[in-house]
Amino acid sequence: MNYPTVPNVFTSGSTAIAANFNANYSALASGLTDGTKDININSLCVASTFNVVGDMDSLIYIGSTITFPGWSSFNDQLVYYKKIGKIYLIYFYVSGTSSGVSPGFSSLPFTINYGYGPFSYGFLLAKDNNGGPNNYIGQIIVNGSNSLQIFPNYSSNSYITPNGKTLSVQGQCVVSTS
Amino acid sequence: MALNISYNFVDGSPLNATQVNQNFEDIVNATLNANAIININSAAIGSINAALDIYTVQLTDFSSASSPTGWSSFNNKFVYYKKLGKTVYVWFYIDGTGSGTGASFSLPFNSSAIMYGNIALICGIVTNDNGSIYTSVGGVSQTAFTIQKDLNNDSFTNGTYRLCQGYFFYEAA
Repeated sequence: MNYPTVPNVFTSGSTAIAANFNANYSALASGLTDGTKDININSLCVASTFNVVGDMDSLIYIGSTITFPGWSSFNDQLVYYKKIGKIYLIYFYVSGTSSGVSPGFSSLPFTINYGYGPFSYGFLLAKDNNGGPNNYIGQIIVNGSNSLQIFPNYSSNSYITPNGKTLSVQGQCVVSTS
Repeated sequence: MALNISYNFVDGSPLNATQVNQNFEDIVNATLNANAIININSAAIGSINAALDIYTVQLTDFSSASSPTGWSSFNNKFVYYKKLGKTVYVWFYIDGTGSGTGASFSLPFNSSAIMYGNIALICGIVTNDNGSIYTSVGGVSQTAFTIQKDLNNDSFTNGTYRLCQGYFFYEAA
C-alpha cells in the first residue's frame, strides 16, 4: 500500500519553516484527493455515494481446492468466486461421471451464514444421461457452513443422478458470510 | 468539494498557532465530516456504510444500446444494468413479434474470458414462444447474451409472439 505521507518531520527545538508546513499540508491534501495513494481504514461511512472506479476484489479460482461430492471423475472443475464485502458471487461449471450421491461443493474457503431459512441460493442447468439425455433446472441450497448441496432437478428435489452417468452442472449462486 | 487548506504560510513570518491548528482541522473535517470528495488509488476497508449508493456505473437504461436481435417489432424493450467494480448486474424484459429462431442482445461491457462458454450459462430466464412458457437459460459470450427458448435449446417460432425476461450477473473484462 502506498499511503499518503508528509515530506517534513519537525524536530523539537528547531526553527519551524513556513514552507515546510505548507508542503506538509499540501501533501496530505493531495494524498487524499489525487487518486494516487492508498488508505487502510477500519470503517468508512459515506454520506453520499461511493464510486468504485476499479474493482471491488478479484475473481478467485477454487476448482482445485474444494471437494466435489457427487462425482467420481471430472472433465471440468470450473468454480470461481468474487467477494464483495460479505457477499460471495459463485460461478461454476462442473462435469464428469456421477458417483450416485447428492452432488455439491464442500470445503469452501469461507464460512456461510445460513441460519435464516431454507432459501435457494442459486439455480443451475443440470444435464445427465440417466435414461436421457436430460436437461433440468436445478437449485443450490446451503447444507453446511462451508458446503453447498445441488439438487439437479428442482421439480424433484430428491432426484440424484445414479452412479456412473455423465453429469454436468453450470450456473451461479450468491451466499453471505456472517 | 475540494479539500481546501485555510492558510498558506509565508517564509520568515512568525507561525500563528491558531492558523496552524485551523489547517489541521481543515484536513480532519474534510476527511471525517463529509466536507470533501476523497479520491484515492486503493483502499482496504473493514466495513463501509454508504448512505446513498455504491457503484462503478449507476443503474443505467441500456434498452436501446442493447440492440436485441430476434424481434421484428417490440411491445416492451427493457434492459438495465448496474456495474460495481467488474461485476455487472443485468435485468431485462423484451417482448414483441419474433423474427428468426434465436434471441440475444449486446452486453453493456465485454465479459471476462473466464465467463465465456460453459461457466457463463445463466438460469432464471422465462421465455414465451407463441403462447408456450418455459423456464430457460442464457449464455454470455464476449459481447452478447444469447437466450435459449427452452432447456433443449429448441428454436423460437418465427413470426409469433416472443418474450424473454430475467436477470443475471457476470464479470466484465
